Amino acid sequence: MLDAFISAAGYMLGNPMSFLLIIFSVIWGIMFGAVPGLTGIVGVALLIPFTFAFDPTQGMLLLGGVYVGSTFGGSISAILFNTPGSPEAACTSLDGYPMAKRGEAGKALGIALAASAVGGIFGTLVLMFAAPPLARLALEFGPAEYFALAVLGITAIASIGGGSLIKGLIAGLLGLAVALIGLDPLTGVARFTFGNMMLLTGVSFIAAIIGIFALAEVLQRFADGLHKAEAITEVSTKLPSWAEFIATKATLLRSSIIGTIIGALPGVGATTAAFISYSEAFRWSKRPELFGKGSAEGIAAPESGNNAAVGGSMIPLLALGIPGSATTAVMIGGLTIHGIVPGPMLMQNNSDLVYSVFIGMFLANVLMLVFGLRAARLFALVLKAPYPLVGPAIVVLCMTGVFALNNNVSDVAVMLVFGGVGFLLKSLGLPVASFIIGLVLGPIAEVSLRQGLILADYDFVAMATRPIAGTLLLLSVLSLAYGVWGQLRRRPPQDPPNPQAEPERA
Amino acid sequence: MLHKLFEVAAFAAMTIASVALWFSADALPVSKRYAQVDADLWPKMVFGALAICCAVHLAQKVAGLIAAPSGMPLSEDEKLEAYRPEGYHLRLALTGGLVVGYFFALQYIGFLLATVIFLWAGAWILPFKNTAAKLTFAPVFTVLLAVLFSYGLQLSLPRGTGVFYDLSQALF
Amino acid sequence: MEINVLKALGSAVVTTSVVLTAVAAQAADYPARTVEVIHQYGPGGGTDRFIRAIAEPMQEATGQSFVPISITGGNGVPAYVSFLQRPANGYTLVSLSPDDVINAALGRIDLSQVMPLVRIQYDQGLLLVSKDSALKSLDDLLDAEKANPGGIKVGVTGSAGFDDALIGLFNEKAGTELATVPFGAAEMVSNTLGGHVDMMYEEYGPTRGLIESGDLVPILLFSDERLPELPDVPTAKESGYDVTLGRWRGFGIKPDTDAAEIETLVSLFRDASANEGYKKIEADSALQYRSEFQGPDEFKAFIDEEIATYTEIMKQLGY
Repeated sequence: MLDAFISAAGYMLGNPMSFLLIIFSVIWGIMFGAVPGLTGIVGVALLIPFTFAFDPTQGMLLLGGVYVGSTFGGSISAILFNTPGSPEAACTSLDGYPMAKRGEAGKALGIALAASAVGGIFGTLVLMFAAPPLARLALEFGPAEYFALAVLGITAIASIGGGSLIKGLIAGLLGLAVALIGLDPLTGVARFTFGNMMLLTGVSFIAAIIGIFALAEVLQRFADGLHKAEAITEVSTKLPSWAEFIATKATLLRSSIIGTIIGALPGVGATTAAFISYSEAFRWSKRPELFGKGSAEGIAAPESGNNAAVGGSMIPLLALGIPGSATTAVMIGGLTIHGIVPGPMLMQNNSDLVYSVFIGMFLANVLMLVFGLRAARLFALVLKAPYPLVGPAIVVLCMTGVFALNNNVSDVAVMLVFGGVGFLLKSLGLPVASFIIGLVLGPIAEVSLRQGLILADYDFVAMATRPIAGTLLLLSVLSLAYGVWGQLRRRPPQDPPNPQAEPERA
Repeated sequence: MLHKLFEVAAFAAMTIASVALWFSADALPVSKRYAQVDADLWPKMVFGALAICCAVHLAQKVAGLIAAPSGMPLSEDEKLEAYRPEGYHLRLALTGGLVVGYFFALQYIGFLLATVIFLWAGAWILPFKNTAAKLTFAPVFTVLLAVLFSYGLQLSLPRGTGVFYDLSQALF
Repeated sequence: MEINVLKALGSAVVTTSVVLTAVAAQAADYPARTVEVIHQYGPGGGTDRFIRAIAEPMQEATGQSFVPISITGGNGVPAYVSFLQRPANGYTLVSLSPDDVINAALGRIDLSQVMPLVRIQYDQGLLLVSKDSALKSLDDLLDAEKANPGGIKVGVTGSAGFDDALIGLFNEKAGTELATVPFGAAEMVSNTLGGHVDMMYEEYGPTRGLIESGDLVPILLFSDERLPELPDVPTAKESGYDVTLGRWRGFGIKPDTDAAEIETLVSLFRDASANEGYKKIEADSALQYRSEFQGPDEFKAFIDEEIATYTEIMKQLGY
C-alpha cells in the first residue's frame, strides 16, 4: 500500500500538469456549485469530453476535483443569497442565511468552508485506508436498512423546526406528499400527475428548493421594500475564531462519520448525507433552539456531512465499480470511455490511478480552503450591488439554471410553484426544514419499504428485525421519544397559561 | 384576526385535500404482481397521517379562535412579524406577476428578449436612483449569461417559438 | 479564468476536428451547428456513453458536435414529449430503444410521430448471481424455483420496462414465477452482491469488471449464440427457452425533416458505426456480435415487429 502511494506520488510529481488540473477543477467545481441550478453533476458531465485530451489518471483527478469543489460551492450562494447552488447545500441555507442576515456572513462562510474541509479530508482518509472493508459493509445495506435509515432521518421532522410538534409533522408530511408526484418507481403507474406528461419525472428536487428558498426570498424582499429589507451589511469574510470552530467538534466528527457511510451507500449521496447530519446534529445539540436561526452547528453539520459523502461515494466506485452517487455514476462513464473497466480489480490493475485519485482528492480539499475563501469574497461583492438590480438577476439565474439542468420547462414551472409554496409555508408557520426533509427522504423510504417487503415475502417484522435495520429503527424510536420529551421539558415557564394559545407560537 | 381566519381556512382546505387525495390514491390502477405493495400503499399512509394532523391542528385553531376571538395580545416578536410596510401587497403582486410573466415570455419569445425586458421591468419595482445603471445592467447581464451558457458551457437556453425560435437559434 | 482554460482546451479539439473534416455529399451545408440527441437515461449511463462514443467520429467528419441531452425519469415519456416539441429542422434527434417500444405498446406514447433513422447497437443480457449464491447454474435456479414457486427474486432496473418484459417472457417459456424487484442500476448490483436479491438482469458491458473479478457470476445468456467472452455461459435458447430479446439502441428524427438531411445523417451514422475507434468501444462491451447497422427502412420494419412482440408480451404480463 505504501509502495502504491509512493508510486502514485512519483507519477504526480512527474506530471506537474496534474496539479494544474486539480487547481482548475476545484475552482471550476466551486463556481458550478455556487451558480444556482448548475450542479456538480453538470460540472462533471461537461468536463468528460475534455478528459479525452489527458490520460485516464489526469481525467479522474479533474473530475474528482470538480466533485470536491462543487459540494462546497453550493454553500456560498446558500449562505449569501438564500439560494442553494446545488441540492446538497439546501440544508446549509437553513442556518447559513439567518446567520448572514445577522451580519455574520463571513463567519457563516468560514464555518461552512472549514467544516467542508474537515468533512472532505475525513472522507478522503477513510477512502484511502478503509475503502475495501467499507465497501463490503455498504453491501450489508439492503432495502430494509435503507428504509430504517430514511425513517431515522424522517423522525426529525416533528421537532426540527423549533415550532410545535404538530406543525413540524404537517410540514414533513406535506414534503412526503409532494415527493409522491410522478411515476411510481415499482409499478410504473402515474401518481398525482394530473395528466401532465412532464410531471411523470416527479418534482425536481433542485427546482423545488430553489423555488422555496431563493424565489420566496426575492419575493419577500421586494414586497418588504427597501426600508425593511435586512441587508447583509458585513461583506468581509471574517473567519470564525478557533474557539468558535472547535466548539462544533462533536458535530463535525459525527457528521463526517454519517456522511462517509451514507456516501458509501449506492444510490444515496451528499444531499441525503447533509440532511441526516443536520437532523442528528439537531437531535444531539445542547442548543437545539438556535437551529434555523443561525446556529454554527447547523452550518457545520450539513457541510461536513456532504463533503464527507464525496469521499464516501468514491468508496464503492473504486472498490467495486458501483457508483455511490449520481455524480460518481457520471465519473464511471468517464472511466469506461478511456477503456478502463471499473470493478474490484481496479485497485490492483490501475493502482497508480486509484492512489493518484486519493492524493488528488486530498489536495483538492486543501486547495478548497484556499480558493473557497477567495471565491466567497468574490461572490460577496454582489452583496454590495443594489438589490433592485440583483434581485431580478437572481431570478433570471435560477430560471436559466433550472432550465439548463434538464431542458425541461416544467422544472421551471415547478420552481415557480414552490416559490409560492415557500411563501405559504412561512405565512402558516410551518417549518421549511421539515418539509424539505420529507421531500428528500420520502422517496428513499417508500421505495425501500416496498422493495424490502417484497424481499421479505411481505413480512414486515422479518424486515424490521434484521440487525442493522432493527438497530436503526430502535434508534429512531428512542430519539423520537427523547425529542418529544425534550420539547416538553424545555417549554418555557413564562408562556401564557392559556393552552390553546400554545400552538400559535411559530 | 384576518390572519387567524386565513390559517383556519388553509388548514381546513388541507384537511379536505388530504382526504380527497387519499381516495384518489385508492383509485390508482391495481398492479397484479405487486398487489401487496401496490402504488397506493405509501400515499395512503402519508395522506392518512396528513389528514389526521391537519384535522387536529384545525381543531386547535378553531378552539383558540372561540376561546379568544380577538386574539391574544401579541408579543414583540409577533408584532414585528406581523408588521407589513406600506405597499407590501402591491409590490408582492407586481413582483409575482412579473416573474410568472417572465416564465411565459421565456417560452414564447426566447431567452434574450424575455430576460432583457424582465430585468428592465424588475429594476423599477424598488426605488433606485441610478437610471443609467438600470438601463445598461439588463442587456449586459443577459448577453453575458447567454454567452456563458451557450458558448462556454454548451447548455441550451429557452429559445421561444416560431420566428423567435429561428432568431434565437441563429444567435445561440 | 477557468473559462479561458476551457476555451483553450476547446479550441484544441476544434482544430483537430477541422483538420479531419470530410465533406458530406448529400446536404452540403448540413449540419451547420450542434445536433442535439434527446435521450431518457442518466448522464454517464449506457445510452449517454453510446451517444458520446458514436458522436466522436461524426464530429471529426463534420466539425459539428453531437451532444446527448438527458431528460430522465417518467419511464422516458418526458424525454419523448420534449422531442416532439422541437421543430423538424434536422438538429434534434431522439434515441430509440425497447423502452420506447414498450411505452408505445402500453399506450404511453405514439411512435408514429417519429421516423426511425438508424439502429446501431443490439445488446444481449445476462442473468447474474453473486459468487456466494447457492444458485450456480440454470438447473439450480429451476430446482429452487420448483421447490418454492415465486421465491426467487430478480433485481431489475426500470418499472414495467424492458427488463420486466424479458423476465416475464422467460417465466412464460420456462413455466417459472421469478419475481422482479425494480432497483436503480447501482443499488441492483449492490443488492445482488450483498445477497439481498437472488440474482439480477444486466448486459455484459456494465458488469464486465465484476464478472472478471469473479464477484458476479453469469448463469444464463439471452441471445442466439454464446458469447466468445463467456464461452461457459449457456444461452436460454439452447436450454430450450426461446428468449433472445436484447436491448438495442438507435435514433429517430421528425418525419417531416428535409430528405437530403436525413440521407446525410444516415451516411454519417453508417460511417461512424464502422469507425475503428467506435468499434473498439463496442468490443469493450461485447456489443459487436448482434449490432448490425440498419437504415431507416429496415429499422422501421424492425420496430414494427418489436411493437407487435412487446404488445403481446405486455398483454401476457397483465398490463
